Amino acid sequence: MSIIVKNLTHVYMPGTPFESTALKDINWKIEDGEFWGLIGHTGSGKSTLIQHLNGLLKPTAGEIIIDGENLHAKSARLKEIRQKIGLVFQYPEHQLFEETVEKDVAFGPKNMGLPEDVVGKRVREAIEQVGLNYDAVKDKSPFELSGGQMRRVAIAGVLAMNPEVLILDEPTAGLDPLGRDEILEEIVALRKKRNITVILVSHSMEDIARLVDKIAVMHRGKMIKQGSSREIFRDYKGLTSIGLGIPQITELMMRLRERGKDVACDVLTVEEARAEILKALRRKGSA
Amino acid sequence: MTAEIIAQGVYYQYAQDNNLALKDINFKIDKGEFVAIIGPNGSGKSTLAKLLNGIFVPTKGEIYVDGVNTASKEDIWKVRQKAGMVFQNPDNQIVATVVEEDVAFGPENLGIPPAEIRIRVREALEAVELTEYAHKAPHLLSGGQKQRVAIAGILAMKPQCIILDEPTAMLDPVGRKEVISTVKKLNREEGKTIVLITHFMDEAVQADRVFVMSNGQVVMEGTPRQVFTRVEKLKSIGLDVPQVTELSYQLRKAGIEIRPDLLTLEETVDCLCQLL
Repeated sequence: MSIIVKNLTHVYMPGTPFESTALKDINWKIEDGEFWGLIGHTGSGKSTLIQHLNGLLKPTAGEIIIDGENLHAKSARLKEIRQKIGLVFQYPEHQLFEETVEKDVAFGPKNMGLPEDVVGKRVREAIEQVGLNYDAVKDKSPFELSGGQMRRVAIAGVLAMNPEVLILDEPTAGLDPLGRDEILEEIVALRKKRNITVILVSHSMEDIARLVDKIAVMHRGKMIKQGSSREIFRDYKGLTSIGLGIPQITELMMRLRERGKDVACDVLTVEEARAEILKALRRKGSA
Repeated sequence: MTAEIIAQGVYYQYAQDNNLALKDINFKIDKGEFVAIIGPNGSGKSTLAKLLNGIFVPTKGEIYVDGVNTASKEDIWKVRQKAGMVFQNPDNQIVATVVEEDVAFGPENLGIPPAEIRIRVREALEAVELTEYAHKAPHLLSGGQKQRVAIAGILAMKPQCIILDEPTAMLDPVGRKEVISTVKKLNREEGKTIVLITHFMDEAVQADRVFVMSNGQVVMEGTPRQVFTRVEKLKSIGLDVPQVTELSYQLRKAGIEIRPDLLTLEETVDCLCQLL
């Protein structure tokens, strides 16, 4: 499923004293199966932007085109498109409401009008996909679970709709390192298994660096940059000047390079840095 | 040094829960100390934080803040005034429509005279470097600025101790740095005792002492260097180490002789420069 954002502008409360332009002339093309990271300072417009992608917000100007279909054309099948684009909000566990985990996850597919046996199958699959034991949790109240488990249940609720695009807004905020890694690994596994398009909104440059293929950078309502992770994280000064940063490990390699050491400075993970330093040490040893 | 916070054999159990949220917690935090508490979700960090300023009282055992028992009903306001709390979500902590009014909310409730409140608000905003935002609407500020307004609101109550429960979880990288450098400044320059709960290891590294919690207990305690060099142990309880510490650990495993206790970017750069 491809998404094209064309000259998108969004103004909150137009014509009132509170009028504010949240998005300004955004152009963005997301191809089928891509893994994007969306970064930007708080209030840069990330959440406003992703709410346009499944039609929760209507552009003030511009268009959202999904698989060739304009989302806001009169003929658009908004409901169907929404089901295909799953949006996981920040702190999605606040949206849990049912008596049991199973009922909560089933809420979406049931509303889609699917037959009961299909709903049951999807619920089981979704719960397992987020790394929970279906039989152990299905009859529990979602509110007896830990924070990390609740968040997984909320994500399962979106997965049970079988989305083709999964958008996650800060899925790991407030989780401990293990919980964070588990959820991210599950997203990666899911993407491989179902071949879905994923957009990850995050303030963690470390997570973005090791996971996504492409990054879009927001600043004050504009999309100021798009590119591969390596390209984007090369611009340390530019990123810090707009409230962002680069992974600590990338900064380490840049600083070594500045001090005249012969190492590649566009590493994104600890593993890459380790390989790069071992290589440099070997070169030095043989010289 | 005198102790600011003392926990003696503290147990805590939530109603309708058979498990203990906290088990036999014992520690002393000195006046002017900066302590970071790390631990997996559900390990009891936030429960402990709520015990430190008397939102909860221990099921068993005692907590003293500056000599006052938090379980003493008549002294509870003293405890709250001595130990101020900052929470995760800045939007949930802001009550007024103008920054300076928000900062004034705490001292107003303490019944401080208006002239004194003005002075306190001005000083608190200066301390968090938001003086120029005094007349702005809080919702127009960035996440880091909002969280600093929340800290100023606590400062205006003149606490000796500030407890911050994941104050940076919702912030962007620069917002996080702003909040942490504000916290460090309050600790160094104003001598405030700091208890910082965080999931970010690079923040915990900056404390004087780190407590590691797991399953309701403090399982490790020491300087950041003592704690974070135990990479295996931390990972086994679901925690992490800073990326540079991880790198030096990996390099040592590959047979490279490098200091095992690297914690900050600067010292790692220096150390690697000598090797390369």
